[in-house]
Amino acid sequence: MADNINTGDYKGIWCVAEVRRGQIHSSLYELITLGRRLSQETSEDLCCVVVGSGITAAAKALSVYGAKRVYVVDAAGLANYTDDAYSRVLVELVKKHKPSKVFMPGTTVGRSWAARVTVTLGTGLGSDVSAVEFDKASGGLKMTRSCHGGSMNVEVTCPGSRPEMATLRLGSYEKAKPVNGSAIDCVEEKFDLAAWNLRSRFVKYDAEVSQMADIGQADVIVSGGFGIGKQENFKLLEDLAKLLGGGVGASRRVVDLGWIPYRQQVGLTGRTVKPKLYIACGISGQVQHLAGMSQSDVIVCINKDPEAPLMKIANLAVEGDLEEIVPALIAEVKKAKS
Amino acid sequence: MIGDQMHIVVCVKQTSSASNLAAGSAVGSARATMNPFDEYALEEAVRIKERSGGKAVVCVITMGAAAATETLRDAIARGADNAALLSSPSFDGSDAYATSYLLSKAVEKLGKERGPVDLVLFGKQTNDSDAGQVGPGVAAWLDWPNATYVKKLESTGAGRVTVARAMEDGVDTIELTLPATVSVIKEINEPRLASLKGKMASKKAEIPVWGPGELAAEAGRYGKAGAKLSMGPLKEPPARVGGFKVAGATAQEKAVNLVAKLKEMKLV
Ligand SMILES: Cc1cc2nc3c(=O)[nH]c(=O)nc-3n(C[C@H](O)[C@H](O)[C@H](O)COP(=O)(O)OP(=O)(O)OC[C@H]3O[C@@H](n4cnc5c(N)ncnc54)[C@H](O)[C@@H]3O)c2cc1C
Ligand SMILES: Nc1ncnc2c1ncn2[C@@H]1O[C@H](COP(=O)(O)O)[C@@H](O)[C@H]1O
Repeated sequence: MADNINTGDYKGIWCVAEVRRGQIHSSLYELITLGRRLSQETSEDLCCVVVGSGITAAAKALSVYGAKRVYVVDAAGLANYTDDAYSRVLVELVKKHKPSKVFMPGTTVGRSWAARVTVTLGTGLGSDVSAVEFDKASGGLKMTRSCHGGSMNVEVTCPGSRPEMATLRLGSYEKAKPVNGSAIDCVEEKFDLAAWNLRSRFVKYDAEVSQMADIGQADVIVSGGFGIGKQENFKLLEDLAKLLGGGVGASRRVVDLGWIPYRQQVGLTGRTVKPKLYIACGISGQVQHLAGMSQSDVIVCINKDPEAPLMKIANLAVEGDLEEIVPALIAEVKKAKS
Repeated sequence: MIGDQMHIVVCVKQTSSASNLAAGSAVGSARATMNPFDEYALEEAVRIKERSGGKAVVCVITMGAAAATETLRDAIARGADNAALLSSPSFDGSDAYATSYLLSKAVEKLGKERGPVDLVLFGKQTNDSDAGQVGPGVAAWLDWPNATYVKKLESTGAGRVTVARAMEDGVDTIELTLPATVSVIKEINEPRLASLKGKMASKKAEIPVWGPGELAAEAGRYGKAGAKLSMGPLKEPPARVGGFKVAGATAQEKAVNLVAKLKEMKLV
């Protein structure tokens, strides 16, 4: 483990792609937005890292995002994410090339991957960070993240070790648009995976059957709570979500009732989301629910109780019975879109 | 393994975050309890033990202040066999890196003294740090395979477990060779309450306290000296300025006004 290092030996800003089912996950473009800015502020090179199988062409295509270099590890044995294999790969890359900053997506894969890599490297990790600033005086990063179930913010730094690492909360940065980049330097790295003592085996993937967008990435989320009255009313919310191109979320109370799968639960014990628009229907807004969604850009709350906590913090509060308001809303959105 | 039985360690943390509060409780009344996410890890270990006919051994460990013994007793009341507290003033200021180091040293110690540990279970995250780093961190220190966000865990023959991992787009199934560490999520089970028998056992249980000496922990790897991350003070996030009430006499009117607003904001 790297102790007593000279932080100045580490140079380069890395944005690590998550490759899911052979595709580069769109979270990479959010990392690149941050990476580009920091590259200007620090004059360090922006690099991407792509690990997977059959992904070299996609990695080379990242040249249009202004990255100077892309490190590619393309191997059949890396077709699917497992913690020990992927962690070893990233550890080896970091040890060899010594970047100063490594950014990874705040996804299931990214958060797990980064946590293992940082400990092996002996460095610090900001988890699910929502803002990163470069501090000229110290030459290090100030990373803002939330804690205490989303109720508090804290700034973390990584003063004595490198690289400084963070997973970025999805939606914290806009997705980068292509620029007129020059040619990208593609560095293909090979590893003898068979020689590593890997003890996890990917068995299979079962796709989510729901046709709805995943709430982790959706720009719009329509969420339902106990106030929807009955399970069948989720159909209404689905219709609205589909119209808006979004996904359906829920409070814990209705998840516990078995009205909707757990993966759709928003909040402290569910998922943290940051959509552009969050429409809460029949959700009172207890702290544990707010923990998962209070960073949404715009919150709409539909509730018959004007005193409900969520009505107080909503940008747009609609008082009334959701069984009447949601169908009217669906009709209006249809009109607006036609 | 202890004899031919699984040796399971569960890592739990005692927290007193406002998010432990039942909805509606006054802020500031937070009581220190087991991190709610860790209840699922404990329950899963106890279920594995029950499936083994009660023979597998479940040990619960925590790194924290002396008061965290309460949480360890609670864990015994809910079915764990024994517990150990990792505590020393020199552990103060440990971050995920240092905490996972200390926990890994405890796992090594348990393995040496009682029989190799097969499985170490963790919660998804602690509700004060919201980080989810310590599980993979312990795996890194021990150089064991690991998985996170696990919603189902099954033993698949000797020395292996199969886990179902909740992904954004579905479920990944992974097979891990033991020993391994696994971080679980709420979906995996429904934690039980303490039984009367368990409560009796928990009162009588002797809980050893392990400091740096007992753990054979290397100076500079734990506490403030070992931490890699430096944390600033906690701040209230900027308050949301909400409060535009959408007007309208009927549901229809409200819907019209709401959509007009959303159009203005370019959200429709
Ligand atoms: C450790 C812990 C972790 C937790 N984690 C989570 C979590 O991750 N996510 C989460 O959501 N909760 C979580 N909770 C639970 C949380 O405290 C609340 O109990 C829960 O969020 C309440 O769900 P709700 O808003 O759907 O129900 P309620 O609080 O019952 O609210 C229902 C709302 O619907 C309104 N309503 C009723 N009828 C109508 C109608 N016809 N039209 C319009 N409005 C109507 C009511 O006015 C009310 O405001 C957690 C609790 C604890 C203790
Ligand atoms: N001080 C601690 N003592 C024992 N286990 C811990 C401690 N801190 C964290 N853990 C375990 O690691 C998991 C993840 O914690 P964290 O990385 O802090 O979010 C928790 O759910 C616990 O299972």
